[in-house]
Amino acid sequence: MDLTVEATLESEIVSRKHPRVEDFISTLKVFVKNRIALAGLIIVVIYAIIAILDWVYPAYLGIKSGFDLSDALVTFHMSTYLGKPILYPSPITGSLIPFTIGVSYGVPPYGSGAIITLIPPTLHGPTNTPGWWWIFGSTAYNLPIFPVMLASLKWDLTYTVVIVLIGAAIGTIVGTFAGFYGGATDEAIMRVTDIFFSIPFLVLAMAILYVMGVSINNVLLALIIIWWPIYARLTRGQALSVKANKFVEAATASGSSRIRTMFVHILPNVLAPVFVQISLDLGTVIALFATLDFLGFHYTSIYLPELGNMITWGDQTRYLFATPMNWWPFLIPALFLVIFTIAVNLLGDGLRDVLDPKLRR
Amino acid sequence: MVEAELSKSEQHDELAKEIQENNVVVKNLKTYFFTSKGIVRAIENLSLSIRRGEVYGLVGESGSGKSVTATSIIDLIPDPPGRVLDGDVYINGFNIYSDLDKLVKVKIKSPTNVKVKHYKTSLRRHNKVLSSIRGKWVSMIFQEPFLSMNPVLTIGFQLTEPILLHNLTDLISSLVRLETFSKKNALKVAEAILGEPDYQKRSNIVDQFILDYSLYSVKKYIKQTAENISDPEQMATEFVDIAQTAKLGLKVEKYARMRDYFRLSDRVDDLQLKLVSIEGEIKRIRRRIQELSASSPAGSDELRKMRNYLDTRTSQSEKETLQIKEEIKRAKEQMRRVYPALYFKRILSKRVRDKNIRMAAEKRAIEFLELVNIPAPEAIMNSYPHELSGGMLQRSMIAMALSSSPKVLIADEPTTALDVTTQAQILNLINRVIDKRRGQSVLFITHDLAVIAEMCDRVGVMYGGNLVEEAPLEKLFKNAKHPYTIGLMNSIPRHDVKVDKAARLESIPGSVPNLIDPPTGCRFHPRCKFRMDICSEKKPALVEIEPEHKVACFLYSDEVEESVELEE
Repeated sequence: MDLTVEATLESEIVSRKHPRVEDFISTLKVFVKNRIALAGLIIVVIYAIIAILDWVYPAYLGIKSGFDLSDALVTFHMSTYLGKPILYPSPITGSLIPFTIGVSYGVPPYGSGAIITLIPPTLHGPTNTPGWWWIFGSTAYNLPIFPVMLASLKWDLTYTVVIVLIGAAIGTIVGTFAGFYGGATDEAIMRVTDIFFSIPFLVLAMAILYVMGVSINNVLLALIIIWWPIYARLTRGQALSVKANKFVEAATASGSSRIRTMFVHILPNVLAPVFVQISLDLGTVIALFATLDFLGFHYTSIYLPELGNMITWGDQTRYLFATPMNWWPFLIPALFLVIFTIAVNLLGDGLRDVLDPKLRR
Repeated sequence: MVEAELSKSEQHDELAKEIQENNVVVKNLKTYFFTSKGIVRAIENLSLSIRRGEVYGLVGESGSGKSVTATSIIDLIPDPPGRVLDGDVYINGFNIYSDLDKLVKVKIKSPTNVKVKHYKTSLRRHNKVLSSIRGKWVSMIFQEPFLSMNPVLTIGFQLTEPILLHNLTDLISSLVRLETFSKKNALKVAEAILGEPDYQKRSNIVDQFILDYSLYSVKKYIKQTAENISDPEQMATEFVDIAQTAKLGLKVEKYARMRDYFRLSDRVDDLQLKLVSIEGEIKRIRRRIQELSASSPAGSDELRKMRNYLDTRTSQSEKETLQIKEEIKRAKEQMRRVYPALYFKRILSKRVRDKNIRMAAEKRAIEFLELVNIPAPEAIMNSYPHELSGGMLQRSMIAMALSSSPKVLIADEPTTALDVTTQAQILNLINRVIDKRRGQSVLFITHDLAVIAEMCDRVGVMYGGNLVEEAPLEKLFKNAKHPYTIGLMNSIPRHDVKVDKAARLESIPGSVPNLIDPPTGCRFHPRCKFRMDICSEKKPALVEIEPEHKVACFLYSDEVEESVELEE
């Protein structure tokens, strides 16, 4: 008797499907119907998988863990001084790979005269390296673009997601608070956001970095400082319109305290556009992040594999290394960035449809 | 001097008696809205009382202040622009506006330039006090069910909310009741089941048993046991087994501590309400003295009386306050000892995350859904408001309002947005569901006299923010006195009275006055057929002309005759 009763107790709990699970399934169904958004989602997921793999198990991508381009540069310098063939550590195994292409003389790093011929996009790179490394050709120091680009996604995506999520969390809570409480609180918070909106994002970010000094933490901080007002303004407007609803009054009438009303009844109603905004902002922030690096605000070092940095190298190979003008070193990383931005925007549009509860079932 | 004190205490006793007898007592309520166009005098000196176990109807045209009255009773007036400026509302004996005068300062430079200053800390405290009253003693049903449910939360979540906010003690003690379940109890139940030959009644007893000991999860086994076994001794053993298994699953000891904790916390809440009302009373007397001394600096008789009263009351209240504070301190200490983890956790957040409590609340919500005739309540619990029809939503709204078993239910035009057949169902439902014997009462607001006739025991007729007539239902319909009530009655289309086809349905000429600049005297006089000179000069008081029948009109007042005589 005892055993059976206990068994049924458990089975009753397990067999009941949680409403949120059911919800999620029906949400997915609606989302899949929108093919363009689905394409966006697939691209974003591929990027995300690459970034996550890079954190968890980089060898899968053929990248050495803790890969930093400064190793490559040091070898480059040494080898030019000694007049030996150029060696640099493979991003895959860490072992040194000899390069036979290009002649080097003069004094690096920015000395004149170092001439390197970059490898164009090809299916077959130099011998004893995998062919797929070279499908996008090579960039400064004759590094293969493709594996370095994959390695750079790790930094770009991680920092972008951290910036946007923290900014959104701060902005949403502050904005909902302002909209719900109204009055002087609202005015004060909104005037502060106005200050942020009055200065272009990039200029403001550069100013903040200039004052605080360039480091990866400061870049995070600067971009979060810039990003929360967007969410604050968005949610404040939403909260104002949600607050006027009868169900807020009904919640108060059933004894819900003010702070509980704000978090339980108003916040979920405000969230839908926030999710859309987050998905749209991922694209903007990754571009901004790359732009700052492109403009010379190198976060950790000049050797960080990062998309913006890669574009810089691609652009500057011809000055620094006296190579002839090539299209691939900067165009391919830039395209890689643009594809992500577009995919994220498509995803955002799809999310907008899904998050409307009336379309869900 | 002694006389004065006597009269004061008599007055006090009278009020105390009225408060005790009624669920809601409203005294001299005054609610204004401070808009950019001027001050809207929405309610002016309104007094009413709702007895225990009574359905009180408020009727009137739109714009006559019915809804404002309802929202004033639980202070849900949107602020700004509105504010309750004066008056007392006693709910279950507690005056919710006892600390009102601290809340607001109105500066009036000109009719359009009004500034309302709020004292934020007091307002916060006021809201905190009120949130323990709203939903627990008073709950509300709104006009549009579609708008008054949160679209992103499931019905189940919204139904369990008031239960989890207000009835935690009940809920947990029902979980704990398992502890006291002994063989003796089981034998009693088993004999009762076996002694009942009628199948229906038998299953009722089983249901009651399941409900009493909250054995929902083993319902099936109890039913099987009750059907298959004919020996009470054996059945009782089985019951004890089942109960013990369920007890194991629940870890009753933890819930017993939790129950003790919440009992203490309820006690603290009550004591704090008492504290607030004592403070409020003293403050009121002080304010009255200030007013009196401002009006007559020399010092009138009443002022002296009030001062005396203040002295005696202050010394009393100081003692009481100290006592109560001491008691609160003790209760809190006890709370900390009973369940330290919960005590410190609840300082941060009032939510109790516990699967069993949540499930018990859900069961209770499902019972209420069954009570309001909703088919497949389990499925409804997981659905969102937009998936239900208006009638279903209004039913679940009623279930939600009743789920915390309040003393007073305020129904603000609950049927206006529904179609006619659903309306009838909802009205019957409200009538059936209200537990009048336990003293649950309803404030029913509508503009439809037919609905009033269906639902109410006593009716108040409102016009322009005033109560113009108040009577028991039959008296009002047979013998309406106020010209406005008569007008309302005449504007109902009737099938039993033959009229010319050419004749039109009678209506009250004109429209509801703009309350920014209300008519002088009686607010109804511009539209009244029987108006006299005095009507535009003086405001008629609500006078009892027959037992329980009150009218505010000079037609039935002695003053008019006097003044007419004077004129002659």
